[in-house]
Amino acid sequence: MRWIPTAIAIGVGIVTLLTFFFQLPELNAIGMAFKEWTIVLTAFALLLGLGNLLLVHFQRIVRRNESGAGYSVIVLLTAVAVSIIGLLFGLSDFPMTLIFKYVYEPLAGAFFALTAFFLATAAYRSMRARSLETSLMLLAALIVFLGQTPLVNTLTDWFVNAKEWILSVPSEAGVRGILLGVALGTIATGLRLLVAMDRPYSE
Amino acid sequence: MDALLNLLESTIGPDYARILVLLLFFLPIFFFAHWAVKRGVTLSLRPIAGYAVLKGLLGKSAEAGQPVHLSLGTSGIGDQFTADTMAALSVLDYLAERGATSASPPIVTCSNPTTLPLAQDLLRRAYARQGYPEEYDPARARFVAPTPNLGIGAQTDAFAYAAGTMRMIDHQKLVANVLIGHFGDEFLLLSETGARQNLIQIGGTSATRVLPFVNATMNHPLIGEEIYAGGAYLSGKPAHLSSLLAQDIMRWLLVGGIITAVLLRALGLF
Repeated sequence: MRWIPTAIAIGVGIVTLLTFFFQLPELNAIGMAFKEWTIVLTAFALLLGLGNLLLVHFQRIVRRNESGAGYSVIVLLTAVAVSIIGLLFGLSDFPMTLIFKYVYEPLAGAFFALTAFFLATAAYRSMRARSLETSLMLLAALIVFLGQTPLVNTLTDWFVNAKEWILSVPSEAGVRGILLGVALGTIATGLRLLVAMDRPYSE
Repeated sequence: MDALLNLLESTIGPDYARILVLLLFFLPIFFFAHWAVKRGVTLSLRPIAGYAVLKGLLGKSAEAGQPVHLSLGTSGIGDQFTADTMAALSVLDYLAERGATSASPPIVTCSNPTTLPLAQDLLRRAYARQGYPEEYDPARARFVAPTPNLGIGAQTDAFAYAAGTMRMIDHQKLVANVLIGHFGDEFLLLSETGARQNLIQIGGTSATRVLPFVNATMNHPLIGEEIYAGGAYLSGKPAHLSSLLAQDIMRWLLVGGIITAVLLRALGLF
């Protein structure tokens, strides 16, 4: 019976691919149904995820095998409270909007602000000239940095021109090369799944 | 070729036509590469330090009695970055298989709920294959936090996932921090936390705007498409080797095509 999941995966994959390329009413109806099923499956996966989250933190509290059991208590209480509020009042109404606007968004904003400091330490670590590549990266970063500094640009326009050249020629060429490789990798991964050479869903 | 392209352009539009032509062009090369590998053609893979180090990680993990952390990224199955998630799952497949016989199996974290069942299933199957199904612990694969997309103006970055995982990296004794999959700015938060703990750091993503973070913080960065080569380098599965060969053939054809087009344009013939 192992061929059943494989056959389903191939069939769904081919229909979805065809609906991506061609506008046929019969095919689109099937494709739309598959997309709706995906949403339902994702919702069930989210429930599994919530169960997993509660299990991990519950185990941490009970076994005390990891530090931070207090935080786990907060996670459990918050998860239960927000779930109950969401079920009672809906996602797009008060008080869920209040929770996201005044609790989640400020916290996410604070975390986003942290990236500036993390970036500084990461840049310091990577900019130590350990090899020819990092030396070149350091040189390019310096030129781009100076090219964006108004004071330097009033003295000479060499850095602005050099910055423009670095960003539009070597940097752009590198990015396009990477994107080309990523596109080929994505197609190959998709084809492996489509023809069932890769079957993460079964043995 | 022009006639086919014109026909496709008139029926499904120019953008989709180009994608379809690329796919149709790729298909025979893909099957040829698979046939060649099945017939015993051996590939000489250029060394990628990240995968070489990854192979030795579980030995270090067993010696130290400390697990490896693997992040599967923030994308899931069914979205536009599914290939990145599949790349991360190939690495998990390898780590799970070897970690199942170890006292310190890997800890897996994810942000997208659709990757959790797959990660848990890979771990469970690894234990079953080794003959210890009762040793499987579902809490080794952890769903930390989803990326909220509620349409009420909430931010859609995976900072909640980063916050939970950073705490785990900080407090849990680990030997390595492996970050493979699709990431946004949260990659920097996770990787810098690992760097400050002096962990062995291996990671990569296909998102070009995140690659500077990868290069800056990882001991062994995997740049762009290198993440898709994990299955071929780690497990040596014929399907993965053949798709790697097909990608290389396509790449050389594209490079040849680009150079030819540039020369023809320079000579005024195109």
